[in-house]
Amino acid sequence: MAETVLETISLRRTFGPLVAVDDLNLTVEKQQFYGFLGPNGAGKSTTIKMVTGLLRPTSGRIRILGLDLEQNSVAVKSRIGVVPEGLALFERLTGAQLLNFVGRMYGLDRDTAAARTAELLEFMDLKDSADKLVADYSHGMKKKTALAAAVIHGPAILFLDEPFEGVDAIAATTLKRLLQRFISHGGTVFLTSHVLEVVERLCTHIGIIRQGRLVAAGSLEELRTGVKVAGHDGSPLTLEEIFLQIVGGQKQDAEVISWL
Amino acid sequence: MRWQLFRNSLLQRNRRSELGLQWLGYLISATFVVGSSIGFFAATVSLLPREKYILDVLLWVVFLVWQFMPVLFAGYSPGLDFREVARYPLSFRLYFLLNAAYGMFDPAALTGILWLFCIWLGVVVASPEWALSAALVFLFFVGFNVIGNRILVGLFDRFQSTRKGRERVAALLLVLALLPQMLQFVVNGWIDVRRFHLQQWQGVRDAVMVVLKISPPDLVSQAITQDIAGKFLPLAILLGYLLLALGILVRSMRRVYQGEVYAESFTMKRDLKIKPGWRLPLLDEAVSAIVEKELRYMRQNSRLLVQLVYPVIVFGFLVLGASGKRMSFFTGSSNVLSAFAGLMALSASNLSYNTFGMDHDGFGRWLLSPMSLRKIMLAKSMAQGIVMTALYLAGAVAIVSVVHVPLTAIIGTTAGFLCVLIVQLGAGNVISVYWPKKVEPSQMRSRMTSQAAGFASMAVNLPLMAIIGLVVMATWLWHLTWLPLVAGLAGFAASLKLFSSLLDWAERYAHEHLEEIAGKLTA
Repeated sequence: MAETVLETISLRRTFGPLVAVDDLNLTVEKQQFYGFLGPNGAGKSTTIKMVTGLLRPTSGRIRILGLDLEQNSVAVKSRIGVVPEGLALFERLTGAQLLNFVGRMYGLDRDTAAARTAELLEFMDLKDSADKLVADYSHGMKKKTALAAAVIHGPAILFLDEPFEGVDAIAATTLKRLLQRFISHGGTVFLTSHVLEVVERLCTHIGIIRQGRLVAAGSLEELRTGVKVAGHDGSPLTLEEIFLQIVGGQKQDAEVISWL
Repeated sequence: MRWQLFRNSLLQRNRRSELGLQWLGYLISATFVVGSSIGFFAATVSLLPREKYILDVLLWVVFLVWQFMPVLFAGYSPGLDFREVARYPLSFRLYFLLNAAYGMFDPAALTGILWLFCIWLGVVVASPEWALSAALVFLFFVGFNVIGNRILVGLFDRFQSTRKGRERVAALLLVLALLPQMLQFVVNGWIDVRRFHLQQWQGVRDAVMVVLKISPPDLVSQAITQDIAGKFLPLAILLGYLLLALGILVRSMRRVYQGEVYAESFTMKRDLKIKPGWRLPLLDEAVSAIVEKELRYMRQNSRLLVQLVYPVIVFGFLVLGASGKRMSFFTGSSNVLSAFAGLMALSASNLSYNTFGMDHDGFGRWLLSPMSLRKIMLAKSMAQGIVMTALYLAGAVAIVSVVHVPLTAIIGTTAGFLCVLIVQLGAGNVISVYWPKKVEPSQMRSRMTSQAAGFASMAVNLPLMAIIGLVVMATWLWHLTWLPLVAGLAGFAASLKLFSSLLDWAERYAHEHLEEIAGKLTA
């Protein structure tokens, strides 16, 4: 039986009267490449912030690698890597200083941190910018730096919030290579993304959230089986078609802006 | 647009205390402007036409405030980057007019215009024969100031187009802003200027007087007060300045209008050499990493460095410039060291009262790391304590090498300094989580701490000063020469316990308000 690495139990988060996440029960197993999808404002980023400790749930529980996040936050955090929505980088450090710093924060000794920093900078094609402040990096370079910071300590699970947003094709290929290698070495990836084509190619399992509630979850094949699109020619549904069928929201031609 | 930006700046405040303080600041500024305007009128009426120099003085004030206040305090008037305006379909003429008009509605410009109007009213009352010429010349002066200021702002934007440029300019402006405070030490007799042989500078003084004679404010004054024949030359020079400034402004704005972009420079490719992090004695790897990171951040904050080093420089001046008429205060030699220690300890608030201020989005990195917030704040306090202690020791060594201070006084003062410093650091952790504020070191308008933190610091410093005052009084009244030493050592021990309690308090509060703190730091 596959090991459960992430489990949320009746997870809920409100912001005043707004219910951002409502009664979320999510399960992710080891070595799954889990894509967490949803329209804008559905609660994806809120969910990932809660499961990584950046946001406290209003109610509910989170278990990661068998440990309760609230009771064992330090132990859990030492075993996960995160690329959050805002990247959470210390921009007044150089790329090399930042990775070195993060490595040591996760308990690596000085020499190991330095060696892994060099290796990651080389892999991410950031070698020539290693001595520049992160503040002076382009968006794609910052994304790569954040991903390097997330993996430097060899986590068991990676949580990535929109990892492909604003990233060029070459950088995206680098990210994909790293993530697939990570999975093949026993890791688990949980990511949110709007780029459905990439999610469809990479992910083994999908969860779809709408208005704070999980409306679909399973492998791509399981989702295809459960979704019927009127008038479809019978060929396998793409993730985009599945997504749009589940969350709705596709405008008809008559609703398009009249003067455009 | 200016009015809307101003209104939005008031609506941004999340807490009522910040909004209240903002309004109080504006009220004080408005009171100052109105009061000074009345003062300008009164000074003109009372001194003209006998003392014509008053026009020179007042016009210099108008000129300096108009030209340099917008640059020094760019944030008090919400800014608009005119490079952004250039992307709209505007003719160059309209673009130029918009830029000039925008400058006309700068608070410093409006203040300058109000002052000039009050001076003119004073001229009308005191010397009505100059009223017409004053009105015309003042119009010239307004035009020159508007154009001159836009040139300065444009130059400023150019210097600030790179991050390093922004930080260097911010540090330079802070040094310039502190210069008047340094001058007052001379004016008030704290420093004996005879030691600096000023008579050798007579030639420089004469050259300065010549330059002043052809400066815009002096030319305006001459054009008003001279007879008909004497007005011609100053007016001609003033017109020349105006045309020259106009030409410079048109040229520089045309470049921006046509899309000139001031980009960050490229760095040369070098071989990658990763240096291992600092190894600090007695500290674990993670704490060492945090201390290293904090010291790197401090080193990049030029404004903060100036603020921290300023007390050392002031005391250097005072000690080296000894024998000024007020130096009798320092003839009790331990007073020098005590005063320096007190100033250094109180200035620790610059570092500690907004400990997460420079982290911005990096605050999330603290939350992601496998460390308690308590340990993180402790490591930050250690870094801050190392810096303040190093500065104190540097100054103390310099002082005791020049002035004799008894050993007991040295020990007692150092213990007292450490006591106050530790309390400041502990209080700083609490204040940092209650009133966090995002700090942009390259922007002069970006304060190092929130306004509420500034007021909260009084709740910390007043009791400290009261206790120190009691110790000093008791020592003096009853000749208890051992009291400062005992009080310093006891205070040091008590401060460690207090620091730990304050750290617990800060951590508890932070955990309950994580989102709020993160929101303030990433806004």
